[in-house]
Amino acid sequence: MLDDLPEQFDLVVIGTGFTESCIAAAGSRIGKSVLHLDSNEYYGDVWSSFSMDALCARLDQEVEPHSALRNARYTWHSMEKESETDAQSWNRDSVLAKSRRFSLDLCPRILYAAGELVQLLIKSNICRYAEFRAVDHVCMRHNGEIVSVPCSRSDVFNTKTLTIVEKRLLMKFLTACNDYGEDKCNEDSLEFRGRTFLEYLQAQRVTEKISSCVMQAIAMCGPSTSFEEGMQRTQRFLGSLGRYGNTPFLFPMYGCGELPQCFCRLCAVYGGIYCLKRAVDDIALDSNSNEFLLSSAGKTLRAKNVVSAPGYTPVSKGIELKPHISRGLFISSSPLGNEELNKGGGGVNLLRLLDNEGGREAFLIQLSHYTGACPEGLYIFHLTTPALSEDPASDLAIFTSQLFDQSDAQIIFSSYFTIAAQSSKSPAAEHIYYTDPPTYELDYDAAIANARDIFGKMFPDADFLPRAPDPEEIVVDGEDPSALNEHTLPEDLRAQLHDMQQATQEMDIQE
Amino acid sequence: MATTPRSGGASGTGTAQRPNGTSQNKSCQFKLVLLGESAVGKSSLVLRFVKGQFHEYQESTIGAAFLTQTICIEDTVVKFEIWDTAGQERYHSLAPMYYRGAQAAIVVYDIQNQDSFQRAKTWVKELHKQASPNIVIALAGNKADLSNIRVVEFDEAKQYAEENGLLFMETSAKTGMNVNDIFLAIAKKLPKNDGANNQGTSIRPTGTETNRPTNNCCK
Repeated sequence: MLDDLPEQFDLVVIGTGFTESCIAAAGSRIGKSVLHLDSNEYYGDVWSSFSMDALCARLDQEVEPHSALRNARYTWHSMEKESETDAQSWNRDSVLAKSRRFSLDLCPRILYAAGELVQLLIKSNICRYAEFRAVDHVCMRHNGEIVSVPCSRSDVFNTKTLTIVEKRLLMKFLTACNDYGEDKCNEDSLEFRGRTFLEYLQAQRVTEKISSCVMQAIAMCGPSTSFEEGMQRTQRFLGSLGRYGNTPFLFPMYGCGELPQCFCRLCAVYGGIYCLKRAVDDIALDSNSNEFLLSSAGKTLRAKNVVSAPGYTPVSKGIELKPHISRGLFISSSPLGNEELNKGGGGVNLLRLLDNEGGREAFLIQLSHYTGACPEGLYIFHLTTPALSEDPASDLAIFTSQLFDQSDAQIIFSSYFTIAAQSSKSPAAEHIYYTDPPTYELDYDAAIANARDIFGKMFPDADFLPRAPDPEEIVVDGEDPSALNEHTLPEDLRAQLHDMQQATQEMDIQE
Repeated sequence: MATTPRSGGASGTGTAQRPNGTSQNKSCQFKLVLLGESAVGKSSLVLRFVKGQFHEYQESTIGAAFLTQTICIEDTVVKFEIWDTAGQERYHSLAPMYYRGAQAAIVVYDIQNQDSFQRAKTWVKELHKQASPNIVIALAGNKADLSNIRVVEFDEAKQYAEENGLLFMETSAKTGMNVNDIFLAIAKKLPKNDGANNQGTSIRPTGTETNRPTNNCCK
């Protein structure tokens, strides 16, 4: 079946995660011949979304030394009291029966509406393959309760969380942040260069509640974040407001696993070849031709460049992995927070959590069926924090207790796992470009920067994902009925036409 | 609001959310995907339908793989957003996002090729499992101009289609036989209610602020 695979490529990409897919698409888009392989039978590697069955199977999978997903375990919880009044009572069986209605992310992300990824999707015209859901609420914890943070101007005026004085203060503060940087000589801000954002905030004499709003949810920073960084983050938040929906954030419909596939589609549209369930057994550098020789399923492929995700053999041999991100994934039959936050069957909400000292953080993404990621009546809670140990549950314990101890969330399924990253570059694999594993970030900025960087090293002068034309702009052969249709011409005339075209091109160059 | 998100995908139909809102006819947009083995004529069918063309030696799809065509049925303007596989099916690696949210699918086989018919059946099963439950599926036995050397019998395919609730036609992208008809039959079968439900609306970011007005313009 696979024997008719071409043998020579400009670029072979191993792994179909987000970063690799970006690079594959960018290569294909500028006319390079691309082969994109994955030994898995699904797209996305650790950036993938799974159905309920598939997630359990993935978590059960045996861990090899180079596996990026590790320390996995999951538990089904039985309800203490099954209420008979509920239209649907959820348990392991009823959840598994709807397995395919789930898209459970290993690495869930939230996109800034004007952030790097959305800009890249628009710039490259890949946006037409993707659909998003606007995040309904950005939340914070205040006095043990989850409350919505007002985002837009109208939100600020309508919110019941703040007093009138607080509303004025918040608006004044946000306006000042928005204008920051335009007037370089502004004394007010000069004074805070080199100090922390928190100090600046306190100097504005805002109330404790506003301070929480800004620190926890808007600027998303900690007590030691610098003034400049805090300003930048606040501006990033404000700059994404008012585009789609009420908050500055978007979540991909059917989960984040769709995003690598969108890039893969662009790659395929420009001629990239896709082979899942295909592993590379060995890679060697042919010093004569300076090409890589890849052996795969008894066949030798030649490639000018090779990009690989970590965790794929053979390039990952000898790489040591260390825990990088600790994840919790929960399925519940009730949402978090009050009715206000979950109107009409549940919101898609974002909540950033801090430990008591403010030194550690985690973010929680609550998904309802509006994202197409779970059946109606169920909610997914994704919890993510930078890993401290090989025990994701204990890394997350402080946050899960904040969330679940006093709430009446009916958790049906809970799981924990670690995403690992390599602690050293493989010495054996010089000249092969490795992508970084998922880092702890809300959006995809680091992943895109990584893809751009690798692409730039391989193809120094090429444009990274220029805009792909719309279908209306593509002229198919013989489009214009008055023009000669090349395919209907006899052989000798076709050759003449070809010569003429070449001559014209050369003329242009000379000019 | 700074933008007009397009309604799409999951909610099924959407009367176009355009600020000028002058259109009196109902208009619906549907995502239609093509499935089937390599070289059964998927791209040729679309090219015939959208541009009225046929190329005997159609190259594997490059650069396009996403075309639109509008047809009118009674008082409704139906816009098909047609997705081609872009060759990803070749090594059995079609990305599932391809048929995600599709409201219609044409599963194509070549009447001269028994394997392609078996493969078509596999695609129908896959759609029943993975795609939205209300998807309208049509089965197209392509290359019907070569019916004298057929191996898949008309009645066999028709019976299979009936048992599985599929529309069925034998088509020829070369002669144009039944090509428009199969799209028309699908358009008729698709629900064209005004199901735009705000809560379920999804967003496709298009353009930057500078080109947004042209995007929203009626075409």
